[in-house]
Amino acid sequence: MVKNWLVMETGPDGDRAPYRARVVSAGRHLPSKHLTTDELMATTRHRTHIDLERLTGIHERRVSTGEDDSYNLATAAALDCLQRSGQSADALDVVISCSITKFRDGLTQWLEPTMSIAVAHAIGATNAMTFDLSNACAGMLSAVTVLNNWIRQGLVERGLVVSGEYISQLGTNAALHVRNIMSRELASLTLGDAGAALLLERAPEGVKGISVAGFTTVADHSRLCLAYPSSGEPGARMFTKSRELQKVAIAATPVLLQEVLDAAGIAITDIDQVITHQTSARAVRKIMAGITEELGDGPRNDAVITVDRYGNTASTSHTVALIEEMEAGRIQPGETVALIALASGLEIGIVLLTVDEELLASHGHDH
Amino acid sequence: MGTIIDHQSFISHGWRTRHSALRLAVSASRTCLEAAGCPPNDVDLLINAGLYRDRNLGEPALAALIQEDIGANTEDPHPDTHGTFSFDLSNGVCGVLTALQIADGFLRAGTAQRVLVVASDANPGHGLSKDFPFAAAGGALLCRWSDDESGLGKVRWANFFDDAESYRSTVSVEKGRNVLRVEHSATADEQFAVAAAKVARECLDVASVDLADVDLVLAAPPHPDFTATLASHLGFPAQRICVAHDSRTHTAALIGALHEALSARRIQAGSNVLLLAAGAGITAGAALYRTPKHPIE
Repeated sequence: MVKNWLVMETGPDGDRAPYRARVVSAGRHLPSKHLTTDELMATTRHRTHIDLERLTGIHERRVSTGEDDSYNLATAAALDCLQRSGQSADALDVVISCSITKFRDGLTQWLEPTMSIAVAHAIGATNAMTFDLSNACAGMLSAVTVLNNWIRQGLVERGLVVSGEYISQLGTNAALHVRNIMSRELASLTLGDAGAALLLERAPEGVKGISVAGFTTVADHSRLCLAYPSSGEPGARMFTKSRELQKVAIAATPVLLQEVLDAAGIAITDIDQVITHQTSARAVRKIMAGITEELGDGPRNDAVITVDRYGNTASTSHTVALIEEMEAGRIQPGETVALIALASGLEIGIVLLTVDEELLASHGHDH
Repeated sequence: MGTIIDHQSFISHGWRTRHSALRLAVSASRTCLEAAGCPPNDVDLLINAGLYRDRNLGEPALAALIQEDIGANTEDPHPDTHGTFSFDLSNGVCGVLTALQIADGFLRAGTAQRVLVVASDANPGHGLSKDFPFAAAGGALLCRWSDDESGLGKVRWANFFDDAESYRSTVSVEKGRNVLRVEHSATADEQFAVAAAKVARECLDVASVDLADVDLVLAAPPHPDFTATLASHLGFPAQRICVAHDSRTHTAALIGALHEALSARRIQAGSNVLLLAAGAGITAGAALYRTPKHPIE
């Protein structure tokens, strides 16, 4: 029996799952305020001499000026997702909230009760069990992996994965402390706010849906990115060794993607779109170049980049990008999309899904 | 067929661990794995359900740090062997039951062979909390799939939304510092017990099991008022409800209850046990657990 490094469903040969899961709809909510990188860098306390836009490719990000917190962003995205699906909230069996930030009532971080019970109540999901899952920027895809497993095993029929990231305040705090390009808070300046939600349900016979979902934690690197509540300001601060994280991600991702391709019985050239975690345009391109070099070929299209418009929106980034691509008409029905999580931990996860007509139709594309 | 708990461990704080949920979790995990004769590399999935941690760490998942410190497949991915997937979940005192439910899905699928569920809490230290109410304690459960009639039944959940009136914990700025605060109402335990009794009945109804056939209830939180009200509302003898020894145990309380029951030899092979937890939200969960024929350690 082939052993996989990833914890994932074993694919067609050893499949013990009676069902498959599909993504029915995706929702997002973006704050209305655009903050350009130039505007953000103009707020730094020290003269940093950093050309952040050139380094990261981030032109602007959306930020809440206090009108939205993690709870509002998550709730708005959940409602958007449900409205697009035409599904009633009381049909949900489970609501999983996955944000890093759990700000409610301003910059108050809530540990108990869960964010998920508050969101479930706000959207009217009265029959849903609720819990929060935390896995840094891999939170949403980790929850998709758990929910995919539950749906495949018939333990639930339908569930919502949701996240609200009011995380731009880490950038506000970092602007007070960053002195030069070597600062470990540089990554905080790339962050943007967003809410995102994915509705998963049991797929009808013949619908491909999610074919593989697998994850691993490369824990030798667990201390490369650490975030704590700030001691001097409201909100939090994050300290990252970005180059080391990126180096490991570039080296490890192709090996794991090959496992997923083998499990799905496809080649890299069968993948139409790859959406990696959006940290910087340069990082996304480097990871894709690494994949192409190691696997000898690449996916059908260039890697999706939305970080230039939205910044790094933490756990919501894949959903924000997926919706962007669907609404722009760059994803066709039947296409295979690989969502690749790369997050502090070091968490690496891959979700392989086939986008169907219903999902696209919910974003205004009638094929 | 079902998910069984092969081994458990539960530890209270020592001098070195009183301010470190991480050290408590690592210590509990090591103890559990050593007792099971299970090398850390055999753990496929590590779920941490603990909440109150060193310096109120927000990222990464504490589970990743636990995985590194116990040495479970920490190195970069390589072919022909398996790695470990770690993440945190939070559901307060119900977190361990939620983690068991997630473990059950992965074990059922054959996606994981061994799952380690960990929970620990400790004062975050550095003056970052105000009147921290919980004991420094940690526990671990090593789970696997069993093909006999033992194991975890379907987990039943119910929410009774109270807009955080009964129980809340937050981190917010006070006098220029972000400080953790835990607040609860005077009637919180009573409300939790009422919710727990309701979900317990639903769980038993769904499984078509009489309350009289339940040998022992393992319950959390381990508060005397909760236990007394639960016994009364459930119509079940209080002496057959087992909770963690220290009433200040929080997320690890269900593991503490199991530890207590095993230490007192209150669980036999083939016992019908009801796992029951209720906490902030209000969220309550219940599941029947038929203990394996071999003794749990």
